[in-house]
This record gives sequence, structure tokens and C-alpha cells, in this order.
Amino acid sequence: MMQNLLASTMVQAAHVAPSTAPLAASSVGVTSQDSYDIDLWGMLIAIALVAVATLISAVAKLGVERSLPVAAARAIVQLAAMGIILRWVIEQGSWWWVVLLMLVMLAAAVQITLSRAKNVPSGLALSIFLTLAASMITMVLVVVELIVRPVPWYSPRVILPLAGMMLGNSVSAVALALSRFFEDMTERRDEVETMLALGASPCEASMPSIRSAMRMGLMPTVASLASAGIVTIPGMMAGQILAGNDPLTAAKYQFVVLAAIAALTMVSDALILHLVYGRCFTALHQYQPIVPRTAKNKKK
Amino acid sequence: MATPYNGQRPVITVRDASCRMAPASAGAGPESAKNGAGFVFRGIDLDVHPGEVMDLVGPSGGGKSSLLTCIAQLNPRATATLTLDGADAGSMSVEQWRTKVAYLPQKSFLPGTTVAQAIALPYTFAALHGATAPTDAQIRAALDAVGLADVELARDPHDLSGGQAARVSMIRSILTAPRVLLADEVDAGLDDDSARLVGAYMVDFAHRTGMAMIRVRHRPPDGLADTIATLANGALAVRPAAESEMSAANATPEANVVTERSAR
Repeated sequence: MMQNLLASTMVQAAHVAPSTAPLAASSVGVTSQDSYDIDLWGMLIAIALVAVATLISAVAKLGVERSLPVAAARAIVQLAAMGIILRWVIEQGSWWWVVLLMLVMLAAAVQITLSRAKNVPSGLALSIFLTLAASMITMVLVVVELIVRPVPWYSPRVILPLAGMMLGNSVSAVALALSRFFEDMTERRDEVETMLALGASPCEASMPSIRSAMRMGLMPTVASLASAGIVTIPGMMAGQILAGNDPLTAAKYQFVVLAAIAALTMVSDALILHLVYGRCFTALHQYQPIVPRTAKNKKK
Repeated sequence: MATPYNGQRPVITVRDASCRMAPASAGAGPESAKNGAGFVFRGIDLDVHPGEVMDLVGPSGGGKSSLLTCIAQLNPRATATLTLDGADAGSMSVEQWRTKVAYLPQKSFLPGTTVAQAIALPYTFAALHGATAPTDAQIRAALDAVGLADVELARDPHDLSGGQAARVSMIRSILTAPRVLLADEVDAGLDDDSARLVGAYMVDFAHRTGMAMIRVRHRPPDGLADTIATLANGALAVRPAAESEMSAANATPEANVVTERSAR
């Protein structure tokens, strides 16, 4: 939950800030400088909507009538906090605040990935950190500095929402890939041992599981690429249009983000899996069943 | 050694092979580990010679499979000092070791969409780089020899019966021409006729190429073994097969004592 919020917060917060200059000005005339802020009544109505959903859940005995309001309350607090922090960092306009905030996001992303990945061994934090850091740096270099080219280069209004979206997606991809990989390696135990017996290296014996995990990691991205604009108006595009930007500009941004996510999913999956596949083997290249982190460790 | 191999240089030597019990089974009591127990077997020495066919027998759960995987360096709970043709195991990569000391698991894993692909699997590994994969004719001949004349090379391996798959798996391992073959119950799921063909094919290969072979079998002796190694209570005793068959026939306990002593 939190991880989705992290990503969406970054985007929404950037656009909730009212009447600020859009990401790119356009002379077409559809660009509107007056976006509509949401007043207190609007927020109260939104809260009422959560209450309605909670009521329905209680009547239908769905069992989410407790978790739903709690989650909604968390969302309000987290989104507000992110909005305030982002506004403050944008006001400061110095590059080191941007870097600092990105480091904080990175640390949170590692924690979230660990909590989301199921049945993985302990001691993966460093590998996850390296993977997410590498994908984030790549993203900033390619998407921000090569494609968008903001002035100044560290423009928090550009970097932070994009970094948040990318990081959110990398977190999902890495968590999914890790869960799938270790699950598959456990299922394929006999197969892996046969391949080792025939002279396969750990990498060769892991390759079917690495492929399976990467394939699974990319499926949501392919689906979102194919359905974007027909079935859904993706969140980022919707946000930009709501904030008063030219819909075509919003569409271009959305494609850039989806394309970058596709590449990043692949890169971060490949990176993390190559960093961790050795965990299934001893120094003598023998298969060793992984010991999943216990529930106790997870709570820490 | 009371075997017909006195003075011959062994293909493979195993020294001080030990295997700890799996954590679950060692969990019988923490004091068992303290007492130096908690081992499936400990301090086992073993030599196998060119062309020698050794049957590894012993009570079920006595560690026969663990000893085979230990020799193939596949067992994370086992340690041993190993040499192959006089070369220390440390002088080559474990992958190279395993291509030369081939463990043939009980369960058959045949990937791909055809029998030919399943047999070609090891040649996709870097450790067998440079080795030439067997030709279709060679595979065909091997299949015919073990009673699989009706299995086409293009057959989907998933359609094979358990016994057919076990034989294809055996052929895959043996066609890589290892120096040592560690065969774990290859003929467990076979009828008597097929088991005889498989036994004859493997032994013939061993005698022709000088490959050493250790077999774990749960069938009555087929008379093809040269030596019998008994693994019981964590210790190993080797004796010539002829002697053991005689002792089995006469059921004389003295014979066992004598051969065990002389085997040491």
C-alpha cells in the first residue's frame, strides 16, 4: 500500500500545488493556467466516500471495514506529508535537497521491497539497494537529463515526481521478480540438481528461473503499454491534464514514462536476479534450499 | 584390498567422506550432535578402478544416495577428499568434475520438446564446451540397445513413461562419456527384461571405455557387478562380488567378517 502511495504521492503532490507553471508551456490554447484546487468541502466529500465504502463493507461482511478506514487515514497523512515536503523542496530550489530527498525515497524503497517480497532469504538489502540505486540513477540520466532536459538540471518539479514513479515501479518489479525467482528455484529443485550433475554452472542451472521471473516482471508493463489511452488514462497523464497541461504534452510524458518503466523493469530485474541467484548455491556450486526470512525478522 | 584390482591405479579415490544429517532428522536431540553423532556416514574411504562395476548396497536411509552425491560434489552436507585419475578435485572446476564424475539422479528431468533435445541438454553448458554432442545415429543405437526402439528422437519427453524416461536420462549421462558414473537406482521402475538390457548396456560401456561405475540398486543382484560395497551404520565395506554371492548363498557370517577385515 505504502509503496503505491509513495509513487502516486510524488506525482499527485506535484500537481496538487495549484496555479504553478505547467511542465511545458504550449501555444495551442488548450493549456489552462487555472487548475482547480480542492477545498475543505471537497476533502470532506472524499472522506465521506471512504465512509460509504466502509459501510458497504460492514453490511456485506467483507471484513475490510477496519483496514479500509485505517488505510485511508494513512493515505491522507502520507500524501499530505509528501505534498508539504515536495512544496518545501521546490521552494528551496537547491540541488542537494533534491538529492537528499531521493536518498530518503531510496531507503524507503529498499524497506518496502523487502516487506513485499515473499519467501526470500535474509540479507538481500544491499543487493536491492544497489539495484534500485542503479535504476534510479539511470532513470535520472536518461529520462530527465536526456529527454526532458529541465533548467536547472536538478529541477525538483521534474526529477522528484519522475523518480518517484520509476522507483515505485522498480520496487514492484524487483519484489515480484525476487518472490517468483526463489519460489521457482524451490519448485525446480530436482531439475536444478540434475542440471548441476550434468555440469551446469549455478548461473546455467538458474537461468530457467531467471527467465521465468523476468517474464513475469515484464507482463504488467506490457499490459499497461498496450492498454494505455484506450482502457485507461494512466495516473500521470490524468494528473497533468487536471493540473491544466496540454493533453498532448501529457500524453508524451506518459509514453516516456511507460517506455522508461519497460526498460527499467528489465534492467532492474536482470540486475537483482544476477546479484541474488547465487544465494541458492554453496561456494562449491551445490544447490542449497533457501531459508526464508522468518515472520519475526520481517516484523523488525 | 580384497578386490581383483590390487596394484591398479584407481580412476577415483575417495578419502574421509563424511555427511552430516539433514537438519530435520538431526533434530532428534541436540545431544546427538554433541556426541559426534548427527552423521549419516563419517570417514569413508573408497577406490574405484577402470572398468570396475561396484554395487552399493545397504539399508534404506543408510546414505547410499548421499555418498553418490558426495562423490559428485553435489551434496552441501558432505565433505571428502577426492582425486580423479590422480588429479586432485581442487585442480578443476566443480562443473568439470561433475562432467567427469557424473551423478545420475533417481528422478528423470528431460527438458525440451523432443527426446533429442533432452539428450543434448548438457552440451548447452559451458563445462562441456568443445565436447561433441552425440549424433542422431549414436542416440538411436543407444535407445535401441536399452529396449527403447519404439521411442522416436522427435518424441515429446513428457509422453514417456517413468521407465522410458529413466532410460533416456541414463543414456544422456553415459553419452557424455564420464570417467565415473554414479547411477542411483536407474532400473528401479523397470520390468525385468528392460532392467537386464539397461544393466548389460551400462556394464558393456564401462568395460569398453574404462569408465568406473557405482550402482545403487534395489533389485536382486544381476551378476554384473565386480565388487559389492555395503554401507551400513555409517561405515563402508567393499568385497569382491563373487565372494559376496557365495556368502549370500551359504549365509555364513564368518565370510562377511573375513572380507570386511581384509577390505580395510
